[in-house]
Amino acid sequence: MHLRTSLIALAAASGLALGVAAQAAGADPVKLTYWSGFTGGDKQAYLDLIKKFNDTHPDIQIDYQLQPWDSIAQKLPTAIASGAGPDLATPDYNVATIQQYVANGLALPLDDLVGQVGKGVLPQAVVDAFSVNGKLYAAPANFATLLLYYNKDLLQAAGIAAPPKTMQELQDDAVKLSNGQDKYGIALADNATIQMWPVLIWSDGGDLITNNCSDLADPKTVGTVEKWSGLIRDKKISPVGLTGQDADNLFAAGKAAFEINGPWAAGEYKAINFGVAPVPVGASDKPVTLASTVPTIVSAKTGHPKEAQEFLAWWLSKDTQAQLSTAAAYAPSRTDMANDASIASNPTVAAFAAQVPYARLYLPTEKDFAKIDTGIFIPAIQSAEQAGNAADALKAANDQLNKLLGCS
Amino acid sequence: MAAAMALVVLLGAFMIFPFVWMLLTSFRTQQEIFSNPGNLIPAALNWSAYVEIWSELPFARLFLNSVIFAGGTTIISLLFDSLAAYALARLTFPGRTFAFYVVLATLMVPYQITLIPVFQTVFDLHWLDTYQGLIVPRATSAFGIFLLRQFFVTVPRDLDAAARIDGAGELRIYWSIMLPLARPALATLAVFHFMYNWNDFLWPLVITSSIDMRTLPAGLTLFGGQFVVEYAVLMAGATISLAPLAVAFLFAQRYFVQGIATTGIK
Amino acid sequence: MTLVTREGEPRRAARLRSGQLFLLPSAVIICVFVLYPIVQSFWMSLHDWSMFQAVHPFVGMANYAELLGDPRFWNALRNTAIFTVATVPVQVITGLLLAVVLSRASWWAVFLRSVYFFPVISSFATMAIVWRFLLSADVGPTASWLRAAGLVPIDFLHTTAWALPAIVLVSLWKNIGFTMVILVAALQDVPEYLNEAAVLDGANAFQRFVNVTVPSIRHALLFTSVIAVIASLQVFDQVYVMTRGGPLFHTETLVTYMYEQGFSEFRSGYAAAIAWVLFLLIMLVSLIQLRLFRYSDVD
Repeated sequence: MHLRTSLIALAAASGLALGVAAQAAGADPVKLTYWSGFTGGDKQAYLDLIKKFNDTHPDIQIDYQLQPWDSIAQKLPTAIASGAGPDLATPDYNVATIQQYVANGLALPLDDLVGQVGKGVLPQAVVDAFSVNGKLYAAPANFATLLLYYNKDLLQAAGIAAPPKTMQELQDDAVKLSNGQDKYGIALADNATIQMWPVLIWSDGGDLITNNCSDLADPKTVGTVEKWSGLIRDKKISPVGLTGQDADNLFAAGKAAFEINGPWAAGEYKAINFGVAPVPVGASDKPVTLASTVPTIVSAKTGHPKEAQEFLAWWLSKDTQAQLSTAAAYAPSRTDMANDASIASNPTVAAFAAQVPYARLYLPTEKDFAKIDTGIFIPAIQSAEQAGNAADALKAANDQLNKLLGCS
Repeated sequence: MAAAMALVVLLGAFMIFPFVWMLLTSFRTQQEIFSNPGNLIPAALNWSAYVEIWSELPFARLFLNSVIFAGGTTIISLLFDSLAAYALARLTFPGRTFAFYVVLATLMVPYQITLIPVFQTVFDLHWLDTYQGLIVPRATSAFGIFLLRQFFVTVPRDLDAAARIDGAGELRIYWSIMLPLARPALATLAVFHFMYNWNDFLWPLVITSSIDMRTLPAGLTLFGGQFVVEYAVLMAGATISLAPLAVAFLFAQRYFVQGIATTGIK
Repeated sequence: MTLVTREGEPRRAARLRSGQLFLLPSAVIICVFVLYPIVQSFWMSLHDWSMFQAVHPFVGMANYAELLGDPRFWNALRNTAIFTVATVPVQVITGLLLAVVLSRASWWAVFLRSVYFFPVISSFATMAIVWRFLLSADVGPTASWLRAAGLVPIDFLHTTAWALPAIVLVSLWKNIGFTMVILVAALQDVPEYLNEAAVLDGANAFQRFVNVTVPSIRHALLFTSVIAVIASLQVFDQVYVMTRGGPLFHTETLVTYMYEQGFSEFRSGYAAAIAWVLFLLIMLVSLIQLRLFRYSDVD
């Protein structure tokens, strides 16, 4: 009896103490942890913006933690599930990965954000990619298109006056610029990268998936892969098995003359006299390139959903998007800034922004994205590059993919 | 025989070569590496990599985590292992033989079997990404218990018998008599544990998620791909992470060797 | 009552208290983090187990059946087997030859032994970064050296035919010293008179090696072979760091596949099944080795 009353008294006292502490804590800023994968050439642009947010928002402070992409991919799900993970995170640079997070109940629906910003402001493709069952689960950390980077000095030395306008010209130039030993025409990455091969396939009219069925065995797709993998094997226009980082390194070292890459890379190429040009047009006669948008999710277990979405709203504001564009050459993620002065005045930014109407997202809503990309598509491409059996490899991949999609 | 010796020396050079190259490359500049990859000797002694490593990566934190993990595990493991070993060697109690065989049996089971369920347990305990999550599952080792038990069994009984007659408790006997006697075995075990945990890759890779908690091997290999494009910085990081064990090896080589050699006497 | 008998043995009560108390910390840790997980691991392998789902349906042997039909599993098994067969004999024989040459007490033998042992004390994951750099065709030195020697430069880690041999080479580099040290210790225990008697009998160096040296250290040889095989079957660090199982799964091993299934795909049940298959394999191979050795052990 005596013990029980003592315990009750103790509990009451603690509760009171905690209450008082909570009141006092109201004055302390809300701390949000943000796991980000932006370790590349655009790193500084993000760091500067986060600092700007922290300086202008004394009540919300972002603890911005950079990690390599594959580390986040492995660690984020369990971190969020355990309740001790970050409040905000970029799960992967591939859009479709958020499907798993939503399916496993790890991502918060961003109703507050939609209320503040309005869905109409974001590009429709982005909204489609980031929504499940009508609810928005991610905000775009950036919106990028891919252009053809070229090394001006290497082109000049080979007597090429202007960057290629068609895929045929690109192939010829690449052959001319390769010496079979340590100089390559193009740095064509095939794994762990913002994908480059789909751009080649799309430009010739082929595709990976159409109407939820595999297009890998389509003659246009096969033709493209055969042509390029043949050049890689016979004329050594690119090393095989490059990751995105390898390809960037190769271009940065001046050992490859071309690379299809996004605006983030410009920061890494300071030592190179480079230019950017629209991706050459292929057999389809239509300009096409890859769009890339990195999702930022809010943890379903965050203690501060309001503040996290407030940060995302700030991120999507006109001022922030304008600064992001100027600093890292991204196109703004808003549809209402096309005529913004800061965008139009910077030629590199304008070049990337001009491609937005022709840019397609890569497998945006596939639930089995990882299986398709890493398990089916990339091995087929690598097999074609290594063994020269594009038609067979793609036929096998086609059957595998149809089986996965439930298509006959 | 001369030909054999020449081969042995050549092979020895191959053994040392990666370390030499790692050290020398840490003094080169990125441009130098790109333009002259085949060069061994740096053009000049460029120390900037050793300065940049601390800012490019949270390297101080990685180093600290390695120290805490390897050091903590070693010290606690020595304590728990020796206590258990002494109990199994000297004190009879019901279930002693059974316990000993169980310990022996666990040596047979590869760590891959327990890795995933232990990960689940650590996750359920909310110990993921914490020091206790890293250290506690490793705080005792069947190998250590076995090794020390074999040692204690060989200690003459008169020593502790005399102490008991004098009125000393078991704990006192353990602490003041057994442990000092076991110093060589403990030193060997300590070196073995520290080396193993300092170099361990998979376990910290699985248990830690945020950068602040990573250890040196996991931190370096993860960041080596995307984070650090500066190869000299990466080599500097590798050199620094190797340094503690290399220094210890130079001064106390026999403990390293003994640890490996005694595992042969099973 | 005293806690001690006249002979200085602890009394039963004291024995019980101290014995179990001393054992307690280790016992708790081993129970929670070794014994229970062993059971749990098998239990998991019988279920469709994902960390993020609340329900784990029982599937019986379905995971194992799926393994049997999984081409990636068989590929990983094949690669692991090839790796083991390529690594262990070379490692043991080279280690033995080195031990024979370097088991004397002279300063250069001791120095060379340290040189060979040095890779053993380094972190494999960290040195794998160095090796990946060394073997890189773009920024590493081997390509330019091959070219300078008039050979075709090879991108070892990205070429399907060369990736696994490269991993074998790096593994040998790391582990030969380990084998050597154990055999040196064994050789130093061999009594001199055996060799002297053989010399008196007119045996040459080779005959002495085969008929005296090798038989006298056969237990250490067996031990080191079994350890090398078990370690090879468990290969992970260098593969994960150097190739991640590529190119095109040509270096994927049982443990890298298990890791990917367990920690990237979060299929804990399936990964556990792979672990049990590995365990079975290790047991089988170890038993075969011990059995083979028993037969050749005449005396």
